[in-house]
Parts: sequence; C-alpha cells; structure tokens
Amino acid sequence: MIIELLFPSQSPTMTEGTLVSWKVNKGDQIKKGQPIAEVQSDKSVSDWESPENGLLAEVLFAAGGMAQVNQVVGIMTTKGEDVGPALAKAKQKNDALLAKPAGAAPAEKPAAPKPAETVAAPAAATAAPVAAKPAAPSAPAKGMRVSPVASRIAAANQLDLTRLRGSGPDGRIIKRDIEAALANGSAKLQAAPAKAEKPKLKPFRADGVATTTALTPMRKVIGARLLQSKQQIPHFYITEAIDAGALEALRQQLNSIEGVKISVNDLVVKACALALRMVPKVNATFDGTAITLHDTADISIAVDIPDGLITPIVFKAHTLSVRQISDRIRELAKKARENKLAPAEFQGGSFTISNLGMFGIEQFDAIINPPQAAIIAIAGIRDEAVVRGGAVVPGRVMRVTLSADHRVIDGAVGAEFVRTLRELLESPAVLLL
Amino acid sequence: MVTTSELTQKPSSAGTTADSSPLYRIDQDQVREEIGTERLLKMYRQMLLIRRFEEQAEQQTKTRKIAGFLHLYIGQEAVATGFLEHLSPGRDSAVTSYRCHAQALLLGIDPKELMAELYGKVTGNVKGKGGSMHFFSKEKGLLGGHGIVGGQIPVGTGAGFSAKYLGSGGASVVFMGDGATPQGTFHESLNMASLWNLPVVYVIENNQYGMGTACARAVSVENIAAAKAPGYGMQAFTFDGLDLFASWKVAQQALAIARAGRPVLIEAKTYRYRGHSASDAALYRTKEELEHYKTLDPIDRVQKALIDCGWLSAKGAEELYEQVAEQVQEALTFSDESALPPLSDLQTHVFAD
Amino acid sequence: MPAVLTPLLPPRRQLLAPGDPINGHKGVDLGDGMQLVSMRMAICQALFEEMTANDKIFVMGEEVAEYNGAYKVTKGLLDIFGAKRVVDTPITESGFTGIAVGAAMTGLRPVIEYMSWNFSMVAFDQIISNASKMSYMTGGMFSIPLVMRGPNGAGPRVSSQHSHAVEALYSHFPGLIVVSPSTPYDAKGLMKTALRQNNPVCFLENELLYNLQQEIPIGEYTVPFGVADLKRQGKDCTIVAINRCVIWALEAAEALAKEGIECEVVDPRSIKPLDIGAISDSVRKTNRCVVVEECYQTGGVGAEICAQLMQTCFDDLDAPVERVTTTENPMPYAENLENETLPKPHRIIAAVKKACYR
Repeated sequence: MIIELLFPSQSPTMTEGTLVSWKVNKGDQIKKGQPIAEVQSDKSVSDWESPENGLLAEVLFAAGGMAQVNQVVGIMTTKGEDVGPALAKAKQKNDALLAKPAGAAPAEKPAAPKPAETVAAPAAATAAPVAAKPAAPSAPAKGMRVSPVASRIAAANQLDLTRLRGSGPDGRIIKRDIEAALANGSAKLQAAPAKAEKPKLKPFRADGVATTTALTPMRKVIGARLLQSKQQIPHFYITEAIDAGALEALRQQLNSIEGVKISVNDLVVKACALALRMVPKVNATFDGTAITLHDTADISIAVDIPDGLITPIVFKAHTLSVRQISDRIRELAKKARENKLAPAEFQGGSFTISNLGMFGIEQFDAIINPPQAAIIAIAGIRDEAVVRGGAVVPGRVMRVTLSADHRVIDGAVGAEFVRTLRELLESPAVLLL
Repeated sequence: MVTTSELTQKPSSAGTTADSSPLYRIDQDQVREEIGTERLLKMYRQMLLIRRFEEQAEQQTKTRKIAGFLHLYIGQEAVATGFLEHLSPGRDSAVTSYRCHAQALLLGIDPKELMAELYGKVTGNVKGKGGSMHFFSKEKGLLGGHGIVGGQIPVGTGAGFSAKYLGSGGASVVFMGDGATPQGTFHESLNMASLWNLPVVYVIENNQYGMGTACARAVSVENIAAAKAPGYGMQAFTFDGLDLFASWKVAQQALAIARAGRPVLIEAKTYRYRGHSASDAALYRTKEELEHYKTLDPIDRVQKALIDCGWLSAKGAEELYEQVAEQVQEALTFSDESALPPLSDLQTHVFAD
Repeated sequence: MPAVLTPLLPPRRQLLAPGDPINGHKGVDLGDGMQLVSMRMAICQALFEEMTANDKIFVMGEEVAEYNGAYKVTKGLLDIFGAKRVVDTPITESGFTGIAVGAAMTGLRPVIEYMSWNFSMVAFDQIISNASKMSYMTGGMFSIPLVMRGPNGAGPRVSSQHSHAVEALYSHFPGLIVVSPSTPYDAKGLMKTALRQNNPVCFLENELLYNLQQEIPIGEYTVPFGVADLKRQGKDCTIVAINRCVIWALEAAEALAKEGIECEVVDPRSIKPLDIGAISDSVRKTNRCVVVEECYQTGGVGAEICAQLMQTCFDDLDAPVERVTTTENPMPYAENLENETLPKPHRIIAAVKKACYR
C-alpha cells in the first residue's frame, strides 16, 4: 500500500505550518505511532506520528520550511512498492495546492477581539438599570403620513392626499379620513380641462427593428443644398408675433362665400408679396459676388411631398389676387405630389415661405434656399394673452420668423420687412386691394 | 488560596466508602474457552475494525474531509465489544454518548454509511443530518449517538420501559462516561429504573477523564458503580475495561439480571488513547501515563491470547488486519465519491408524517 | 380562508345538579347528541377515548395516577387502565421526559404531564435536544409520538416561578407542535389529534380554564392543527387572543360593542403551526389588529404575528399592530400588581381604542 504523508492540520483554521525537523530518514522502517517529524503551527509544536507500519520511501519536503496543510511531504510503502507513479501524482497534487491564491484558504486568525466587545456591551447595559427603558421614538419623519390602507383606497379613488388633513397621531391620514373625503366629494383630483382635439398619436413600431435605406437622389440634393446653405450663409433671424384675429375673421368672411376656399397661407403669400415690393432689398438673390434685386415677387412655397420637400413658385404673386394665389398653389401642390412639376416651376424664385401652421407650432426658423437671400417661417395661430388697450386679453397669435442672409440684408432691413408684413396681416383688408 | 486537592480532600473521619477495589476477577483461560474460537475471532476482528475506523477518521479530520467534533473510542474497544456481543439487535437496544462509532459498528451498521455520515454525505447513516455524534439504527436498535452529556441516560431507560411494557424480553444497554455520573439525569434514571424494575444495564465507561478534568476532581468517590448502586438498591459490577474477557463475562451476567427484571450498574475501568475529541491536545495527562496504558492495549492482549492458544497464526492476524484495512479503505472511497445532500433536503423530516 | 365562527356559547345549564360529575371522562348527556363538560373533563375524555382505542398510549407524570392528577385532569384513568398505563413518577421532569422520548422511539405513545409548564424548564434539554430534534437528526429514521401536557400561564396568585406562559418559548424551536386551546371543544378535539399523530406536541392548558363549561358533541370529532377559528365576528378591529386571553378578549369586546366598536376575536388554537391565513383575512376586513397573550412582550407570539402580518397585510393596515401581553416583570404576588401585569380586559379595551384612533 502506498501512503501519502499529508502535512497535518493542527486546528480547524490552520492553513500552513512549519515542518520543524524530520525524526526519520528516507529508507527507514517506521512503526505505526512512531514520531516521524516535529510540526509547528503558530500555537504549538507537536510530534507527527506515523499512521502506519512501513518504509519511508521518499521525503519530498525539507525541514525548516513552511508547508501547506495537505501538502504531500513524504511517501511511505508497506510492501516496498514502486513509488514512481505515486511521486508523479504527489507532485501534481502539490502543484495544484500551491497554485491556489493565498486568499483561497481562510487565514489563521488570532482570537478575534469581537467577542470581548459584545460581552462588554451587555455588562454596560445592566450596570445602569435606568438604561433598560426603551429610547423615546425619534421625531416623526417630515412629510405626509398616511396609513397603508388609507393610501391604497385614496389611490384607487383618485383622491388628492395633499388636500386632506389627517386625524391620526402626528397628522396621519387614516381610513376614516378617506371615507369622509369620499362621502363629501372633497379632495378629488381636478378633472383634466376639456381638451382641444387631441392630435392622434401615430402608432409606433414596438418591435424595435431598425431599417437602413440609401438616400434617394432627390434627398441627396436637398440635403446637399440645405447643408451648404446652413454652413455658408450667415443666417440671422427676426421673429414677430402677429395678432391674427383680423386675418382669421377676414378668411372666415371670404370662405362664407360659396365656392371660395381661402387658407391663411394664401393670405400670407399675398401679404409677403406686397411686403417684398414695399421693402425691395429683401426680394434679392446673391450669387456670392453680386446681389440681384428682383422686380417681381416670385414666391417659392415649400410643399411636403412623399419623398421630401419641393418649392414650386408662384410667379408675380404681387399681381395675383388672393383667390388666384390660392388656386395657383393648389394646382402646384397637386402637381408636386404627382411628381409632375416642370423644372421651371420650381427652379428660381426670389423668396420662400415655409408654413408649419397646420401643426400648431409656436415658432420655428427656416433655412434659406440659395441663391435667395431670405425665407420666412410661418407658425400656427394660437390662443395667447395679448395686451390691448392696456389690458391683457385673450388673442389669436401667429409668429413669423424671417431668416435672412446677412451678406445681403441688414438687420434694419429685415426688421422693416417683418414690421411691414405684420402691419399688412393685422389690417388684412389691404390684401384685397 | 485553596487548592483543588484541598477542596476534594475527604475529612479523615469520613465513613466507609466502597473505595477498596471491587474489580471483578476472572479466570482468563476459562472465559476464553467459554467464548470459543468463532466468537473470539469475531470480537477480535470487530475490535480491529473499530480501531482502524477511528484511526482513519482521525486522519480525515486533518485533511478537513471530516469537520466538527470527533470523539474516538481508541483504547476502549474491549468494553463495548464485550457487552454488545450479548445483544440481539431488534429485540435489545443500546444507547450511548457522542463517542458512538464503536457501538454503531458492533451492532452491524455498515462502515461505509458511517464514514459517509462523518463526511456529511447524503449516503450517510442519517443522511448527513447528524454527523459524528449522532449514529442511529432503528432495525439494529441503536438509539443514538447523543450530544448532551447524560442526555441519553433517561432515553435508554425509556427503551427499557418499552421493553417491559410490551413484554418483549428485551434489555436496554446504556453507555455513559465517568463525567456523566454527576449529571441529574443519571440519578433520576437509576432511581426510576430501580423503582419500576426496568431491564436496563447502565455501563459507566470510566476512561478517567471527563474531557480535561480527571475523574477524581469531578466525582466524589473513586469506584463510582460500587458506591452508587447500593444507593439505588441496585447491583454493581466493576471490571478491568481493557480486558475483553472480563468485559464479556460481566456483560453476560449483567444482561441476565436485566432480563430477569432488575437494572444493573456497571463500571469499566478503561482508558482512551486519544484526547476527548480530535481537537483536544490532552495536555492534562502525562506522556508516561499514556505510554503505560498503551502497553495494556486491549487489542494486543486479545491477539496475544489468540496466538498463544493457537486459534490464530501471526500470518492470520496480518491477513485479518489487511482485510479490515481494506474494508475501511472501501468506506473512505465510498464516502469520497458520495454526494452531499441536495439542498431540497434542508427542511425534510423536521416533522414525521 | 376566513376562519369558521364558533362562538363560546353559554351552555343551557351548569354542572351544578346533584349527581353531576365535576371531573373524570364522562360528560352529562343532554339528550340531543350534545353533552355538557368542563375543560378538564373534555381533556380526560379525549385521553380515555384514545387510550381505549390504542394500547400503546400511556400517561406518565407526577400525581397522575393515585392522586388522580394535581388538577384532576386524569381522574379515574388509573382505575380503568391500571398502573402499567397510568404511571406515577418521582419528581424528575428531566428523567421522565427522557424516558418518554426513549419509549416513543421504541414503539410506545407516551402522554406526559408537567404539573405546570413552569416545571418543563427542568426538562428543557430533553424536550429541545431530544424530542424536537429526533426526526430531523436521524434523517427521518425515528419519530417521537409524544404529547406533553399541563397547565400553562398564570394561576391564582401563584407568583413569579409558577406563572410562565411558554407558547413563544417552545414555538421557537423547529420540530415541536404547540397548541393552546381556550375551550373544552377545542381542547378535546386537539388532544385527539395530538394523540393520533407522530410528532412531539406541547399541549398548553390553563388551570383557570379547567372549570369552563361548554356543550360539545357526544360523537367523534377532532380539531386539526394549524386551523384558527373565530370566537366573535366584527368589522372594526381584529383581536387575536391565545388561551385564557380569549375569555378576556370576549369580555373586552362586549364592553367595546357598547361604544360602537365591533371586534372580531380570532382564536389561533395552534401556535405552531400558526393559521396566519385566517388572521390575515380578518385583518384585511378590519384593517387593525390587537394581539393578546400571556407571554411576555419580548419575542412573544404577538411579535411573530406582527412580523407575519407585515408581510401579508402591509397595505391593509390602518394602524400599527398592538400587543397586549404580560408586562416585562416577573409575576408579582399582590393582587393589584398582578392585575396590571396580566393582559386583562381593561388593557385590551385601551389597545383596541388606540388602534381605532378613539
């Protein structure tokens, strides 16, 4: 029988110790119980007795060294067997054992000081019998106090807890407070005000799959032009809030005539056309070196089409009546959606109008279409407080924002244009002249 | 300052105590003949098995495969072996303290399941739920394996109560250490066993130390059974616990008395070669004392008797030793290869069905 | 599941007529399938019926046989079953508890009596280290069909060493079943269940309830472990009461009803296993709970119920759970001091009002 001599543990927590000295030599015959070595833990030195009768065939560890518990330090045989394979196995075992990081085995700890501490604590407590009284509860937490069931019932009935006074201790809101509130209908959360027609939320794709598509030629072109515009034209912006009450009233009046369908935009186009004639410096194009002031108000109208955006032109808008403008735009928009616009119909123009009013937008800035020098952004007409006659009254307000190329148009010019436009739109009867 | 010896010194006018040695004397050859070859060889092998099992278990505490308490029976083999040879498992029962490995092996429980229990494996004697101190067997009549000193004494007395109640003719053997005899349960049990004529044999294994305290510093008389049995109206036997033949002979008589309806109190003067438990450095006794008792090794004595009378050859002895070594090795391998209990066992058997 | 309502109705008459038994196992046949018994008679009847059915059951304890029981609970059993099955012991709680464990491991079904549960402390090691653990420690090899019974809680002015209530102490250890009935019906039913099953049971009676009388069925019935019942229905506050405290809780409930507070009294009957389901159902209805017990407050049964209700009924509580317990001092002898130490009706009323914010 082959016997591995495993370095013994002297205590439940020991992980290593010193093999102080061998008391036998390789090749000695050993009796069971005979001391074969002196081993030391940090507590004591003691004899290590042989577990068997046999021959000490191999000594694998030198005296004086620090061995790990269960390290193979020697090999015995009972019948003189060949120890070759056993040696190899022992080496393998030892390598594995010694490869373990030091932290793997629990370190032998000196008697922990902690027990002494815990023993001391009760002694202190019993020393002062007065201390046996439980400490007074700490001050109540700040904020509202509600019992769990009161909280639950309130939530289920949409009661506003902040409007309730609790009758429990420390102002705790309790079940009977909730019951009382339910009985007399107080503390209900405000019902939401009658809403304007809610924009329908478009259904969204919940599956989270992304799709990638290459740009169409049109998008490429649009993109390149807009990029160029934004990067190279020094835009500045002037916003004006228009009191659109009269404008809306006029439109309504016009539309009450049979066969007439005028949009706010149609009126705006006319107004812009007139304003461009009154402030001609805005009706300009710039090729990078020279400014061209245009005689006619050729207004590009931004139209949304399936694949992007296109700007068909209402030529000589200042000469057209509002009705004519309206028809023309309708016609152009139809063509645009059917992809039937001729290049001459959308290339050119001296000024662009971009209108997001149908989305109820408060205000936005548009990007100039080069070689034009300006573009105007028309936002939605909304209920707002306005000052009239020194008093704040509800009004209908539409914001317009001019984006202008500062190389061509100065601030004062831009401001004049916007002010003119406002005057026209706020006294809109002039548009019918 | 009062010294311990002064504290325990008897006043010179103390009344007579049963301190003069009451050791039961036997004729070695006669008893050997009575036991016979077969039984003696069987008991010898049993003692070898106990010794080897305990030594290997001790080894495994150093490799950490066995953890917690481990109380070894090395040196005391003659006592339990002699007594339990007279028991019929199933009809009779035995109970002991935490030093229970020998009783379990002697009653025929497989060493594989006992070692597996020491390893805390699910194949263990009590499915890994008990450990070294809690060996049991319902069919072989081992009622534990108990951790509380003296806690087993009334339990074993209860087994005697059942035997009488059910009229089974069985007897109950209750093992305890010298350190248990001061415990209240010892006195309560002996009183009731005597009062109610219960078939119980109480065996005090006096290995001279209750953990670290020498018997003389814990018990007020030297010969415990001899002094206390009369106090309960019971008969006492005191014998050399390192002598298997004396153990066997005394047991024979004690069990006859018990089966006839009277409890008996026995004291075996024995010795343990290891500390109280595996973690005891045994600094309370001298090396010389230990060496002296090793010369009285009960197994060596039996071997000598077997060889001297020709019932066993030296070669036969070696073969038996090898056999036992292999049997224990098998138990070690089995335990190594067995699985730990599954986590789903954590709360099984808290209650019986 | 909500508990069943089983109110403690006053019997149609008391055991006062000449010839009425005051103890023993025979009740007074009332003619309609019901019998009139006292608590001690109900327990005795359970013992008698089960011992007749199973000859492995035996009774052991101090004064149980020739004296007929210190409180006469085992009256007459010696004459019927003989000294082999009704055994007087010397004063050796630890010893005879251990003997009972050994007997239970070897085929018998012992019923041991502690003259009062205060004396069980002497046997604590045998109960905890042996009885409670044997099934688990032996991997299910051995079971302990053992019933330990006796009066628990305060007696009549018997002072500090004789007044402990031990529900909390024993229910702490896994492996023990702890029951604490408040009525003769519950006591008989639970004792029969205890005697038919195979685990150690701490059967906690009460000296001051032994004379409580109730009409119970003559026919066979049992009360299962782990099932509570309602002793009173109400919507405003749940009172969980244990053992004698049920009587005090009902008294308090009567007084509170006059002030418009209707209490629901839940009697767990088993402390371990505890019917937290029934208690929770009641608390969900009333939103408040008061636990009344004779154990001390620290680590008492109320502490366990509070912790469990936090888990089951957190969102249903309108007020913190109140506990009315024996106060944190050993039981004094003087009458007025004892009155303030015990969880008596006036303290229960105050606790209910506090929980109701009144």
